[in-house]
Amino acid sequence: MSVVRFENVAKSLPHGFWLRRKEVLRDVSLSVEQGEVYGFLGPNGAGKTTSLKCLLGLLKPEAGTVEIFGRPGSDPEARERLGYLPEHPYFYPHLTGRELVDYFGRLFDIPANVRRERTDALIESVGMTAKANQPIKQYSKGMLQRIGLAQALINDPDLLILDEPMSGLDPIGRREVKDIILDLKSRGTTIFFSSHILADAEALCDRVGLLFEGRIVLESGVDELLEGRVEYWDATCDDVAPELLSEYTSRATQGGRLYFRISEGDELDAWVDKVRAAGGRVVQVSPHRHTLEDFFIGAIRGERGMDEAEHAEDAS
Amino acid sequence: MGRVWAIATHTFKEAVRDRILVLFLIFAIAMMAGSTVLSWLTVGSELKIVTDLGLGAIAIFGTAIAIFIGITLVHKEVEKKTIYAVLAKPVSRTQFLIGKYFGLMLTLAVVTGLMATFYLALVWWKAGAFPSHLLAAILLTYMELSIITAVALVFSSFTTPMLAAVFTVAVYIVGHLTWGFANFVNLAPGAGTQYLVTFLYYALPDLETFNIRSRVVHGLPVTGGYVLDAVGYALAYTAGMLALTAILFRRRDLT
Repeated sequence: MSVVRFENVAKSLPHGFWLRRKEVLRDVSLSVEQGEVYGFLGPNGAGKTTSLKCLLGLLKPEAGTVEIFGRPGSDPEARERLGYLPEHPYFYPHLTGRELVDYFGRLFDIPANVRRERTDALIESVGMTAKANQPIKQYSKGMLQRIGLAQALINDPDLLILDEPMSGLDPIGRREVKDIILDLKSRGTTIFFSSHILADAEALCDRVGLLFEGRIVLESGVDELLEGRVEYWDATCDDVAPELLSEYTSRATQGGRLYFRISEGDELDAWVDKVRAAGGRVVQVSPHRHTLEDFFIGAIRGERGMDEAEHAEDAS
Repeated sequence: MGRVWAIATHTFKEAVRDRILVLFLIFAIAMMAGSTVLSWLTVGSELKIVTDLGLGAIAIFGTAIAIFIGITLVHKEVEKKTIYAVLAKPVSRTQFLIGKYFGLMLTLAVVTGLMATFYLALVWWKAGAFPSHLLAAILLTYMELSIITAVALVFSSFTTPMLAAVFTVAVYIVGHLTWGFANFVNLAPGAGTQYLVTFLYYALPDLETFNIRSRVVHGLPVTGGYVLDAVGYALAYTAGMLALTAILFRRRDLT
């Protein structure tokens, strides 16, 4: 059974002064399996937050099904084993960080002594112990994000849903959040997070889905996506006369050092042989791989192209 | 139940940490204290002025707080998006609404309690005793507040605080005049208008039922049966309003 399942979900929302309905989700289908870290990616405005709201039962989808642990998200029991960090955490400004985490613990009916222990431990783990007794209205964005993460973990969830968990964090904060996510993953927690920062997704996810204009345009395991996809190699050598390697595209020369960009694997072998035959030294060969970003920009360009083609057809 | 209670106590905490509540309380106490000054102007009916104005102050400021906080009760949570994290917990929308409602009723109980304590002390100081009917009058005022809060909650669940305030105040005013509707039915032209008036007569709360203040002030009898009936009516009306809010709110998309 999938932990999270979207099947052909569509949703439109009222928009503008006349509240005309605008299609936000057209056809979202995806599934997140037990123990997986799933990156729900897409540009701003693609419908990521809307999808998560459908999942949590805050919005009712117009078509399709959304399920958490095999139950509809609108069923409170489905949310018993779930932790959720909203986008730009909006929390009660009049509460202190500790009171907030404790309040959310009470909403899970966690007994007081367990709640107190967990609250302390979680506040510690997100590095907020010193600020826990300050009112939330004094918190910076990064601090809100940290306390938000602490409240999302108060019920020791089996499924963690994070909406843009890295936004607003400084590099140290991002690293800490990443460490927390990896730690939870190693303990078997399923994590479903939305992001538009692809480097984070690449570092954390087992699988990713790309949402674009309300549709999933690409869904794949990260390893399969990135495996063996070397675009070119940067190759550097010393002590060789440049003329001997004139058949390769040279990028730069600095001192006695030559820099090349080599696109084919076979060509690379030949290059190494040549350098050594000329009595030179290979200093460095590094592959330049495709990143998730390359794939997604490619996928989105493809979609846009198709859209344009469709429009052109309609016009003719 | 624990979850509803958690939401209620949190709503209470939020209200208490807001300065507006203290401000209302200061005004109410100032008004009661001022009534003693006013009573010097009258001869022979000093006590009447103090008892009357005091009960009036409790009702007016109680109503003001019920409307002022009631109209933002749900709307603020949606507007400030604080509701997302709450409804992502295993809490149903109905539980959320009931929790918010009881949170405000808890606040009103404490505020009314404080005003009543000051008021009864004042009467005691002036008269050396106080008629137990004063307690009945305060209880019924609180029951009226429970209806006003429920009405404010209905409006708060689907419209802006501004409109909710207008509607709630309208219901409050008309609610004190519904006894006139019974007479109006016979005068209304046409069956359609008669049905409408009859419908409004039953749909709107009869708030005048809870106003036994002048009777108490003038020493007229108030029976236990009357008080019980009024309390029963308030509970039934409130339950109806909460059910209506739950139905309206359950369908709503929280964008």
